[in-house]
Amino acid sequence: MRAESLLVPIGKTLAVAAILVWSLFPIVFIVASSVKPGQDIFAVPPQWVFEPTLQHYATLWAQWGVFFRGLWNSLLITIGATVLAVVASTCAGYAFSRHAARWLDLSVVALIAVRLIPPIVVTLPLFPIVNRLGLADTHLVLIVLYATFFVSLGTVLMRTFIDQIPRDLDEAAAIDGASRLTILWRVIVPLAAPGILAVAVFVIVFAWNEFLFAFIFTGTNAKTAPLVISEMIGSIDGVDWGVLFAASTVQLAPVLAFVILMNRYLVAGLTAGATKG
Amino acid sequence: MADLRLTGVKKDYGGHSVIKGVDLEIRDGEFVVFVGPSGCGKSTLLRMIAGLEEISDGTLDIGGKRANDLSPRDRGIAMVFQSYALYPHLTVAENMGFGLSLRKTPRAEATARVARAAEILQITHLLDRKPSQLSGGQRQRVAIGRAIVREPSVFLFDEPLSNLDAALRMDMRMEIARLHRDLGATMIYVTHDQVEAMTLADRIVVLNGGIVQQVGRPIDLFRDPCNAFVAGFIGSPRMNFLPVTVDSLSGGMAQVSAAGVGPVAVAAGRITMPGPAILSIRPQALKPDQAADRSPLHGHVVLLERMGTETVVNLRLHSGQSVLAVVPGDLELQPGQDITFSFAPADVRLFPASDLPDQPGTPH
Amino acid sequence: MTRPMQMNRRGFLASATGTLALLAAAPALAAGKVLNILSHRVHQAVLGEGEGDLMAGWKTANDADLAFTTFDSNPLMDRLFREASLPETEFSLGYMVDNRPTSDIARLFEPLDGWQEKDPIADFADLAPGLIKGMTIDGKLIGIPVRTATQALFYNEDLLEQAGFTAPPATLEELVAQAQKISADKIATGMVLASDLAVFPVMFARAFGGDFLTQDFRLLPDPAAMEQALTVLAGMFADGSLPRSYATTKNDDQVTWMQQGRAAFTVLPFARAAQLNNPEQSKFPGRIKAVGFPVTGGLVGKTPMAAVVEAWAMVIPANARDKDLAWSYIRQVSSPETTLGMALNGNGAARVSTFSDPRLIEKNPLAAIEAEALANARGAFPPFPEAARAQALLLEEVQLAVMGRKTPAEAVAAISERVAPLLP
Repeated sequence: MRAESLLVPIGKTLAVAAILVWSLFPIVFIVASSVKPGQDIFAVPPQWVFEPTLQHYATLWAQWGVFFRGLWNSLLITIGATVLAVVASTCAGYAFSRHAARWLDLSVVALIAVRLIPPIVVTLPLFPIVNRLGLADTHLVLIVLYATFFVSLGTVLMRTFIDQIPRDLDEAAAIDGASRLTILWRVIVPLAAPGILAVAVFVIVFAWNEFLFAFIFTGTNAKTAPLVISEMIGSIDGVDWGVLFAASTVQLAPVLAFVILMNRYLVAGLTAGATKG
Repeated sequence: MADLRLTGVKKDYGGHSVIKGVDLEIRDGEFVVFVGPSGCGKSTLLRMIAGLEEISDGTLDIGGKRANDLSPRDRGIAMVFQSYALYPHLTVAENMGFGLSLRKTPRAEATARVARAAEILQITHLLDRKPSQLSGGQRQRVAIGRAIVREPSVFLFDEPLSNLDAALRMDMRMEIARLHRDLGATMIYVTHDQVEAMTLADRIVVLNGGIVQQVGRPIDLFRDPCNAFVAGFIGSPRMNFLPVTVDSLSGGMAQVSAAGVGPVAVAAGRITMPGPAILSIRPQALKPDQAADRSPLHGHVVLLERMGTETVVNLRLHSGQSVLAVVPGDLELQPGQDITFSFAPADVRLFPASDLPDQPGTPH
Repeated sequence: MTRPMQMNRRGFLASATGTLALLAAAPALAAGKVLNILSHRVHQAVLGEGEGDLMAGWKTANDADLAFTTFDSNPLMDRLFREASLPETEFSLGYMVDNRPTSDIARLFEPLDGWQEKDPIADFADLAPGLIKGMTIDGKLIGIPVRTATQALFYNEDLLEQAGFTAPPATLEELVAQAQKISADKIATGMVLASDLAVFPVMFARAFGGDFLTQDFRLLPDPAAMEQALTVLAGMFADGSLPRSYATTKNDDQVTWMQQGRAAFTVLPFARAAQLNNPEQSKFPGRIKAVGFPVTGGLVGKTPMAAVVEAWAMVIPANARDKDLAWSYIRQVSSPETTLGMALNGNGAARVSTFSDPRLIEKNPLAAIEAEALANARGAFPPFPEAARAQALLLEEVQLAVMGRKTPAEAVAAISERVAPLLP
């Protein structure tokens, strides 16, 4: 009995440690490598003690100005796609939640089915169309595409969230004098905020890191940071790993910061409905 | 003016008829209670008046104007929900002032109105709390406060007390009665609890199966129910129904008899032909004694509930029929004991056998 | 950080409006014309910028500007072919790798023979004839070679000295012996090669006078040579002079292993010399040198080594908007002076004469060796639709042989049998 009661906490600690190492190691490796002198990054055995340098960041700034343009583009596109996806998902989720109809249920199935198709199947045929519309290499095309791909998941998610908001509240607000839009904005949105945040996080993380659509539909003007990073990896004149890790760190930082900052709300959002508030 | 007139009002859900044609007039300042078992359509009727459900057919006039197509906010009504429907993200003050802020009421005026309503309901100290920090009774007061602040001409209550415990329910009942007296507004109140209906209403509307059964003052309904359903629904404990046979009719009187009952002459009511009928006797109309002008009921005691001020006797007649009697004071009886109760023919009502309701919902 | 949940509406509107304004703003270029180019970043880089802009004169003369859209190699090819298959593309110039133009792909691009006749490139004959041949598909010239990457044998002088070698190997047998000794002495791993590229088995086969697939699609012209090549590689793996992790070794590992001194030899393009000796990345700056890949002893002086070369060519999509401007650009970039300028910026020249220019020799001590290697170099194998599958089959069999799961003879037989049906 004694031995067993000791084993359980030890096992738990080990499991938590394993999960931590598993999830943190890549991040630590990237960040640490970005401040390691170039010769030490791949040294065998690995160098744990080294003199940190910002050299790679300086090189990144000097040689890869395009990366920072890419970051700016990524930021605009991410914000645009997130706003669009959240607005559309919330409106659609509200409609789905409050209006029961057979055809609406069918379209929910359709929404989910769309998600099952590999994106590339939809994407490639779009290329000539986007070109014809003159949208190639614009921020708009990626904003719309990213949002589109998350509106389905977002709608289902928001529907679930809004389903948990009693209809009585809509009706009370209607009697209090609110229009549909006012109900949505003043009652539903504040109460579904954790859901909105969850959808936003999905879109943000996706849009910030997305490669395929960005590669197909952009060139220079709207080129996103992941595309620039891919050029660093594949450079035919050799990879400058230090600079690559510096770029990865810069790319990683905002999303990481956002997720950490939102963590509290996010966990609340993803577990909402588990208990009644 | 906030009198309401419902004319031939109907509600269909995809071919399924829920309200089958209601005609009703509610006078300004009147307190009307819709009562009936669950599923009788009382809440639907209320929601139609509120504008939360469309009216399939017929006309609703509020203050002399057709209101069928008005949105809820344009009907001059306020509603208190069973679930209270407080906005969880707003404070009590914000909840109460929500309608005013939507109507762009000047801030100072809105604050004053909220304060006044809070004072009436004695919730001033709660104004800065969120609904989650309130007890059930407090939430109920806030919900009522939200309605008061709007100064509507018609208040709608949808089973507002059913989520409260018994003691609180009685307090709030009195509170609502006081409010009605103080505000003088028209109030329509939905409940399945006949006690609430009896205590609050100026007039009661008894609904069953989407049809109005009877409309009238509580005491009239108690004394003179128009059918067995109303008879069974109003009054507690429930009315006793005895199957009897009408042997003959003359001069508005019917000669009835059954195993262990009668023969006795009672008012014929709606009975026009000899044959099977239902004799209804209030438990309070049964007395454990015999007199010449009273008709006896023989049976034995099955169960005894001695409350001190009154005794509820559950007895079985020789015919096997169960009957409840409520006798004032304490009565010392033994289960199994044979006993004879009696009733005055004037205290009973006769209904056609076709009225026999299949177990109307008992108040709880 | 701001508090995200508290963003007010005015602030949101302001930033949304700003975003829209930014979306609307097109890149403002001063020049009258713009040539849109699809390329890899290195192609843009070697043309220089600012003071060192090799195209400054051309831009002025043509009142034109250059707009480069850059991708990594494979995405670049993908995008280039997709653009070329549209009804019209704004990219009037693209850069293409020479292992890509199959007949189908070549048809998407403008034949350049007519342009060359009408408005010829200066000293056209000086462009490496092998490369021109590689860009001539079905009798039509579709690309002008602009960049070469010829494979060299790199060695770490330091490690060789530690093992007592004063000179790099002159024959393949010496190479194997040196690699073995360095491994046996536990100085480092003898040689590091990526297992996922056809270049290395092809180089070894050619060192024995054989090949995998010739430019005229003869499969294994000398099976014995391939068998010898696989025997040598398998021997090196068996005695530890190839890494134990050979099966998972990638091209980038070759660079880091050399920079870290974990391997003494590798095969990489000459242009990688700069990176391998970069003091910021390498533990052996200035000590990693290159020679041409050696042939087997029996062939020395008889058959020169045919190193693998990868070349890039400039192409004009057949659906391009401004072919005149594109050709004008090609003429300028291919001119002897621009070719030299690019070479000084680290570009592997496509002109033979450039390598003997004293200015380049002064800057790049490997120029002469590279010129010699390039003279006899050719692509790993010619382009054809099933090339990717053919390469995958070759690599599979080579790995089996190197790791000792199959005899070299069995592997060679399997290559012959499995690849033949894929040939055009």
